[in-house]
Order: sequence, then structure tokens, then C-alpha cells
Amino acid sequence: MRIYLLILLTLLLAACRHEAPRQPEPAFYYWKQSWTGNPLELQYLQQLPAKKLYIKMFDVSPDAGGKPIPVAVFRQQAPLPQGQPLVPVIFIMNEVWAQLKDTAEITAFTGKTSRLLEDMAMALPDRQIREVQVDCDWTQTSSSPYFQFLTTLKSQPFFRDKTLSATIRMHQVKYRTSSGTPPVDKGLLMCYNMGDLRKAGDHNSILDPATMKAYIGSDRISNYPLPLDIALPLFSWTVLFEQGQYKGILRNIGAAELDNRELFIPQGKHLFVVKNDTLFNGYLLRKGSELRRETTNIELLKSAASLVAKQKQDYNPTIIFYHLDAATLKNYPLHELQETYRLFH
Amino acid sequence: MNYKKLIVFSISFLAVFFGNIIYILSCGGGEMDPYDYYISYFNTYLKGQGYEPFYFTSLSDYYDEATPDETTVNVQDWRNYAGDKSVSTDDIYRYIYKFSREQVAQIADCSTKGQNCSLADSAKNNSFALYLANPKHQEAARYLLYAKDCENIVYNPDPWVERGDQSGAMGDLYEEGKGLLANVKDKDIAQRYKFQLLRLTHYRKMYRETVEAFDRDFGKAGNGNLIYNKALALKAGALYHLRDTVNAAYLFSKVFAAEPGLREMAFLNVKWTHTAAVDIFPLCKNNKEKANAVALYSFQIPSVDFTGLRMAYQLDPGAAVLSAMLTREINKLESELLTPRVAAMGDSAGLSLGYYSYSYFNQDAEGISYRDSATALQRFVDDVAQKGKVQDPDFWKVSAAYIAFIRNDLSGARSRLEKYPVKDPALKDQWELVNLLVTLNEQKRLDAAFEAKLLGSLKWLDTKLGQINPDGYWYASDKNLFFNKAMRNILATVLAPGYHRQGDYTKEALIRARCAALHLGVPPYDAVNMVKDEMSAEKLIALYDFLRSGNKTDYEKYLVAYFPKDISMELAIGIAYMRVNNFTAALPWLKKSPVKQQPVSYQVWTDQLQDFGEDTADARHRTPITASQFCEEMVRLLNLTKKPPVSAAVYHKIATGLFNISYYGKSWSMLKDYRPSTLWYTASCEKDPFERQYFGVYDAEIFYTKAAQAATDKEFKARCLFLAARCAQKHVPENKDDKLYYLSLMRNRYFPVLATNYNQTAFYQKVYGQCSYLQDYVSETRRKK
Repeated sequence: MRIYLLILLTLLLAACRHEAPRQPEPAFYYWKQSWTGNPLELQYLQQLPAKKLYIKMFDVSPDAGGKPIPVAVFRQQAPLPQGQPLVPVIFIMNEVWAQLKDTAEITAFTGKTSRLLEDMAMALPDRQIREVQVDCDWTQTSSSPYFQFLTTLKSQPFFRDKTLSATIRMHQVKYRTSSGTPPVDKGLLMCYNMGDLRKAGDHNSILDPATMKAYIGSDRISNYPLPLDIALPLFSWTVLFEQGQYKGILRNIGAAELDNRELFIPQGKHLFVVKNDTLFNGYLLRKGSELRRETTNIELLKSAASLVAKQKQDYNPTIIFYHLDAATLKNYPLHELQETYRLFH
Repeated sequence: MNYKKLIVFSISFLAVFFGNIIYILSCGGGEMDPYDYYISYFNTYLKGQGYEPFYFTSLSDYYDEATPDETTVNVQDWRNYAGDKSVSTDDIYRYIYKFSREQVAQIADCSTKGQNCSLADSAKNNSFALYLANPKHQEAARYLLYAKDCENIVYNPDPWVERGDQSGAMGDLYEEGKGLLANVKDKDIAQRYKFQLLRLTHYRKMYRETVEAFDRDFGKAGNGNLIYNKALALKAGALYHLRDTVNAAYLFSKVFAAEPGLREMAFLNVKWTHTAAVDIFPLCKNNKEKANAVALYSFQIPSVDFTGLRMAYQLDPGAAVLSAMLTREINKLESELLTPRVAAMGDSAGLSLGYYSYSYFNQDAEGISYRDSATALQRFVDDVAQKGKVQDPDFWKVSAAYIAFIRNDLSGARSRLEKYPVKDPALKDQWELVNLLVTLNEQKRLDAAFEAKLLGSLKWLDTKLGQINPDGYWYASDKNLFFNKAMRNILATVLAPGYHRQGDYTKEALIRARCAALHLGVPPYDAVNMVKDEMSAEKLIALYDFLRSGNKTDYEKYLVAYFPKDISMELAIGIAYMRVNNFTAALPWLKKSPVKQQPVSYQVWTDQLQDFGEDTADARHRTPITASQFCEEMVRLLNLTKKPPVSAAVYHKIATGLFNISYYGKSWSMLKDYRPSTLWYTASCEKDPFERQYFGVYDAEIFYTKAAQAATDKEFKARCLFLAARCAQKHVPENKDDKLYYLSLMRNRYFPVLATNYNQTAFYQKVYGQCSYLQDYVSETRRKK
């Protein structure tokens, strides 16, 4: 009898897999066009402490004639920090792929992109660029040219010794078969903008745990064929709807402004209804229009982080906070950000 | 029938099918035409040349390019400078804007050397090149080469190349230019050099020097040509960078007044200064300048507000810009007042006109402020039209009549039209259009007498139509297609709903056909859609008889010419009868319709234990069955039911045919061209005899029940009962409470007898494993026991 008990115990002990704790690395994303050396931003960078700084170098979008051109090219108006490695990022609008008709055009486009990226990377203080990232919300139709672009890019001399990463959005994790997996070294899972921004209604399109759960399921992250870094949102915005139609994002109308009961009637969890026609902070607001205040707060962030952290890959993820912006950071004391990324241990 | 499986199937189907599309829409695309998102009958191009970028559209930053644009003016200036009749503007344009640096350098070289050098062919064929090659004009030739060199430094020709700081190169060019200028005797060429030098100074961020240089080189001249205005804009920009925003705004407003081609740039720069008109009033020298400032700032306002217009008029009634300002106000009222009213009228006739979502529009509460604004504008425009001090008095007169129309004051519009006949030929057409609109709206009933008059108007509109560019990538603007839009709007928003309200669906279809033939945008449905989806058999027969009748009026003949020739009316009528399960009436029509156009099925007679699926040929279903053949068989079977005893097989086959052509069946294409996967049975289906069967499958259920009763074989009985249960499930009323809804699906009226009497059959064993409702019903019953 005792021997059986011993065997049982041994088996049980063996079954308890001792998982080594992960070492997540925190980082920040810088998405603005000019680096101005804002003191608060520098402080957060130093004290998080961020292990990397992702900086968007330029966007690519089609011009009036359909040709892809670089826009919003990064300008350094103050010295960049020396404390962490820089990761240059480029954002490519999905519409670009429809304009590139064949392999020759894709190759030419890749050459231009890589040359410009290389020139800009050389101008950065940290010449030892170890990773480069591409951000593109590709679709099933554009997956072929986009993946071709990535493969060609990786074969360029500048990229050969560097890690190439690509952003992966929630729907691309869920519908992995139809979306495909980009031919890169690793991915960055964007845990935000998972709802439908342009759909009217009382939801939070930036971050909603229930929606996220539907996308990531119980193992879609852990089973994803690429190692995934994780991007978490810190931002908020107000969305305007007129008669159920999406009108745009209002840049300077936040919680404080919406507190004005003379102008805005709260309705539901995120909605405010405009009481009277008014010109407010430069925006013309019509009576009856709806403003939806979408925010992220630390509770939401932690609950989303916990969900994602449960699905472990055999990899130490970089946890990137989007984005490094003084106005946004004011809402997040450093220790709360630290608690959040530690959830990924 | 497995609820869960269905949901999974639907979601996966939707996600795969629409997933990409939904995401794309949520990131862009699916946007409205920025020039055609509201009903408009007022041509923006009537008066207001030179202000084209500021014509009203709230969905786009600028409407169109200003005329004359900078290129045209520059070319003309060179033409005037040359003063030589042999030099053509086309050649000047090509030389300045298309020739390469090498080509320009060669000409400059020849001109300076003064010998007979051999010119390239491109130069020999260009009259301006030949002019410049003449040594008498070497200053001009040398200047243009210098300008080309500046262009390559000042603009980055390749956005993919990061050139970094160009100050060094600009400094070198500046020195070179200064040297060249010192030897120039011609005043015009000297002025152009000074402009280039000024720009190189500004672009090197030397703003104080820019201001000084302008005052020194251009201050006295002030001859208001293009070069002067471009230089003035550079000074204004320099002042902006030196934080003197008010002065900057004032100077930009002067550029705005003087040069149409630079207006967009000046407008944008004024916005950057964050000033208002009153800020620059103290700097304005006279009322003309103040009026210009008011106009400029008023173009920033997208909402209904004619304060600026009134102020500008009081300051300078003869200003040309007033017409452009008035047009904007009228277009705004079309968008905010006219379109919602017309859309509401369409809604009341049961027709959605497709102008975006006014379903929440509360006319009384919201419209009031626009009605008041319109009334105030009316008073103002009437006053101005009467006093006649403006540059285009006829324009204001037509506008006054049209504003009355927008306000739905038809008698007011009529009286103004009569009081103000117009002489200006450009406005005659607009007057005629307003006249037509008033007449149309005054008419209570569209009868034959009115139609005879209307024919003349439609034919007049035909003469005004523009050609649609089939390669046109972007949207139509009023420039070429104004009357196409006006005609489309009249047909789709006035005449079609008018006939619909009168119950004259035949005419409505004809009008929609004429409208679709314009190929301009999509009204909610055209004649083809109407025939295939919106008309009952009776209405279709009326249309059919009309089309074949001999004595049509001229008006009717005109419309019929546009009616699509390739629709089979017989087929449409047959299918319309089939939709309401009237197979006997459908059959003779289907027999007359061309076989090739008829929908075809392979599996319509095979009963379905699951919904949906594809009706394709396979090993067991090789024979195609046309609609006509299907109908024939249905009629035969239905006749058999009148002669008892009726076999279960007959009832079963009828029921299967009925179910399979419903929304849930594989053969839905017998009745419909298109079946979106997002529709379902709702209570409102009960009101429409077609929807009642298509979504509610009541008759199919009845016949499956009869089949079960008539059957003797237990397996077959079980099968028919289950099929009846599937039908019964379809017309369970919707319920917001998910739990209650599920319960009502589970407590299917056929489950008790199935579970009690047939649970030993092989069929029952099979479907029990597939149908979770049945399983849940059985568990519930067991628990109760």
C-alpha cells in the first residue's frame, strides 16, 4: 500500500511543473513626430525603468495619385536619451499594398523604405540599432504583398543582423489562418483599439476585457507561432457621433470638460449627450450629438494585463506602454505602471 | 436543429466573410462623396470664380482649384513680357514646368554665347525656347536657369530621400543670385531675381532679413503682380515666425485679395495665426480691405451663419467675393434645411431616400434654428436684390427666389421668380431650374396634363447634361455634372416618391429607370431592384400591361425608352406569385419566361434536416429544375391534395418545396437574388404575406403536419413531425430575454409527441444526437417527473 502511495506522490510532484518566472522588460512607445525632450517623459523613461524606446520614424501612405510616400517624418528637436536602446518603427497604411501591382514594384518600394529608414537610423544617437519594427494592419487581401515586403526587407544588408518585428492586432491573433503570420522574428501584440471606433454606442473601443477575451481565447497567445511582446494602452480620447454617424476624435475635450452639466448630459457608462448647439474648444457641437469618452485606467489596464499574462510563451516579453506623452502619463503614477508590467512575471 | 452550431456557424461565416470588410470600414473607406452628400439644386460654380477652394462642402478641406491658378498666371506674365505673337502659352508652360535642367541650361548657354549653336529638337519645336535663345533675351534665359536651380534646392523632388539641412546649398545659391542680379538691366527680370533671393532668405529661417529685404526690394513697387504677391506672402510668413501674428494675418489677407492662385495658401496661413477679422481691422486701410478680411475668416465657418456676409456687404457692396459667400450660405441651408425636409417626406411615403440617417432627426426641435436663419437670410437677400448695388444683381435675385424654395415658401418663390426675370445667360438656367422645382412642388397630383408639361422640362434638362468620365477616379463636382445631379435628385426625391404616394407604381418604376440611366450615384433602389424586389404580382402585371400597350403619351414614350430591355417581366411576375405561394397563378407566367433567365435548383425536393447549405448538383442530384418546372410540379401536387385520399409523400413533397425556397432553405434563390445572412424572423414579418412564408414558413409546417398524419410508416411519421418542428421553430416571436427565448424554442409543440411516441425510431435516435433543443426538452421533462 505504501509503495503505491509513494508512486502516487512522485507522480503528483512530477506533475507540478515548476515554471521558471519570466523576466518582462518594460518599454515605452513614442509616436509623436518631434522629440522635444519633455522632462516628465524623460523622467518616466528613466524611472520605469524603460529598457527600450520605440520611436516611429515615418508613416507611409498613398499620395493623391496613389503612389506610396513617406509622411510625418520624425524630427529631433532636442537630444534623445542615451539610457536605452532605440527601436525605429515605421507605420505602413494598408491602402499602400493595393497600389503596388507586382513583385518589381514591391521590391522598389522596399528599397526606398529601407534606404530612408537606414538614413534616419544612422542619424539617431544610438547607432547600435538591434531591432526594427514594422506596423501595418494588414488584411487577408494584402497579406501577400506585405509578407513579401517583410521578407525582402529582412534580406537587405542593413536588416540582416537585426531583429525584425511586426505588430499583430487582436483580430489577426484570432483569425490566424485567414490573416496569416508575418515572416518576422517576433511580433508585438497590440492590446488596444479592439472595438469598433466608428460604431455608435456605449462601449469602449480602446480596451474592453470581455472583447479581448473573445479575441485571445484561452490559448491563442500562448499558441501563436511568433514570440509576442505586449503593447498596453495609456491613452484616452473622446469620440463624436452625430445622429449615429461617426464624426471624429475630439482632441481637447476630456473628462474635465465633459463635467460641464450645462453642456453635456451623462448617459450610460461612457456617453454624454450635447444639450444645446455650442462652439466648444473650437468644435461645433450640435444638440443631440453624442460624445463617447473612452479611457483607460489602471484597473482596466491591470485586468487586461492579467488576462494576457496568463497565456505564457517560452519567452521574456517586452511590455510596451503606448505612449510616451506627458499629458497621458500624468494619469499614471510610476508605481502603477510598474505593478502592471510585473504581472507578466 | 442545433442552436449552438448555428450561432457558431453564423459567427464564423460572418467573421470570415465580413471580418476583413468590417475592419476595413472601421479604419476608413465607406465614406460619402464630399460633393454629393446632400440634395442641392444650386450650382456652386454660378458666380464666385477665383474662390473655388472655398465652395461649400463640409466633408472635404477644399472644393476645387482656384481660377486662374498660379501656373496660368505665371505663364501669362511671361507671355506679356515676351510681347511676341509667335510665342505660345503652351510652349511657355512646357518650357517652365516640363523642361529638364539640362534643356534649360542649353538654351541659357546658347543665348549668352550669342552664336548660332545647334539646339536640341525639343528646343527647336518650342517657340519660347527659340525666343530665349535669342541673345537679346539672354537675361531672361539665364534667369530661368537660375530659377530651375533654386527649385531643386527649395523643393525636395524625392520624398524618399532625407536631404537634411540645405542651408549651405541655399547660401551658395543666394550668393550666385546676387551676382547675377547685379548685371541685370531688365526690371521684370530683376524683380524675379529678388523674389528668388527673398525665398532663399526665408527658407534659411532668416526672418528679420526677409522682412527687411522685402521692404527694400518690393516695398515701393507694389504693382500687385504674381511675383509681388508671392514675395508679400514670404514677408507675411516671416512676420508670423517672428510672432507678429496680427501683421502677418493682415498681409496674408492682402495676398488673399490679390491673387486667386495663392488664396488657399493665404487662407491656411491665416488659420495658423489664430486671429479673427477684428484683430486685423485696425491695420486695414479702407472698407474694401475690411470686407476682404471678413470674407476670408468667414470661409472658416462650416455652420449656417451669414453674419460675415452681412458685414462684408455693408463694408463693400460691390465686392466680388459676396457671391461666393452667399452661395456657401445657400448650400449650407440645402444641407441643413432642405435635405432633411425632403428626406422626411420620402420617409412618410415609406421610401428611404438614402440621405444619411435622419431617423433621429426631430424636425421641430432642431430645425427651428435653421428656419429662423433662413428667414433672416431671405430678408437680407431680398433687400440686397432690390437695392441692386452688388456686382451680380441677377444672381442675388435668383438666390432670393431659391431661398424661398428652400424655406418651402412656394408662393414666395413664385412671386420672386416673376418679379425678377434674369438677363445674365449664366443665370438663366438656374432660374429655369428653380422655376421647375417650384412648379413641381406646387403640383398636388401628377396627372396627364401636368406630365405633358413636365416632358418639356425633362427634355430641357437632357440638353444640359454633362458627360460622365468613365475613368474618373474621384467624385463628380458641379462643374460638369450639376444638371445630372439636379435631374437625378428631381427624379429620385420628388417624382418617384410622388408617384409612389399616388399609388402609381408603374410610373414610379419608369421614373426610377430614367434616373438609373443617368449613372450618377445610387438612389435606394432603381427600376430593376423595384421590379425584382418591391412589387407584388398585381403591380407588376399593371406595369407589364402598360409596357405592352399601344397608346402611350409622349411623356410615357420618353420614359419607356429608358426602361431596361433585358428584364423579363414574365419571370418577375411568376416569381412574385411564387413568393406568396400562389403557384397556380405563377405557372403560366413562368412558362412564358425565357428558360435561361430562370433560377435553377438541384435539391429543392430533398428535405433539409439542417438550415442553409448550397443547392448544387452532386451525385444524388443531377437534374436541374427550373422555376417553371418547380412550379408545374407544385401545381400538380396541390391538385392531388384535392382528391382524397392523399398520400403522405405528396404532402411531404409540397412541404419540402415550400421550406426549401424559404430563407432557411438551400433553394432561396428561387425567390430572391440575394440573401444576407443577417436577417431573421421578426414580428413585422406577419404583416407581409411574402415575409410570412419566407421567414415564418407557416405553410410548410402545415403540410409537414399533414404528411405526418397521413403517413403509416413510423419512421416517416417521425421524420415529418421533426420537419414540422423545425418549421414551428422559425416563427417563434423574438424575445429580449435570452433565457425565455431559448425556453420557447425548446418547448416546441411537436416535441411532446415526438419524445413520447417516436423515441424508439431510428430517425429519432439520429436527430436526438443533433438537436440540442430536443435534448434539453427531454431533460426538462425528465426532471419534472
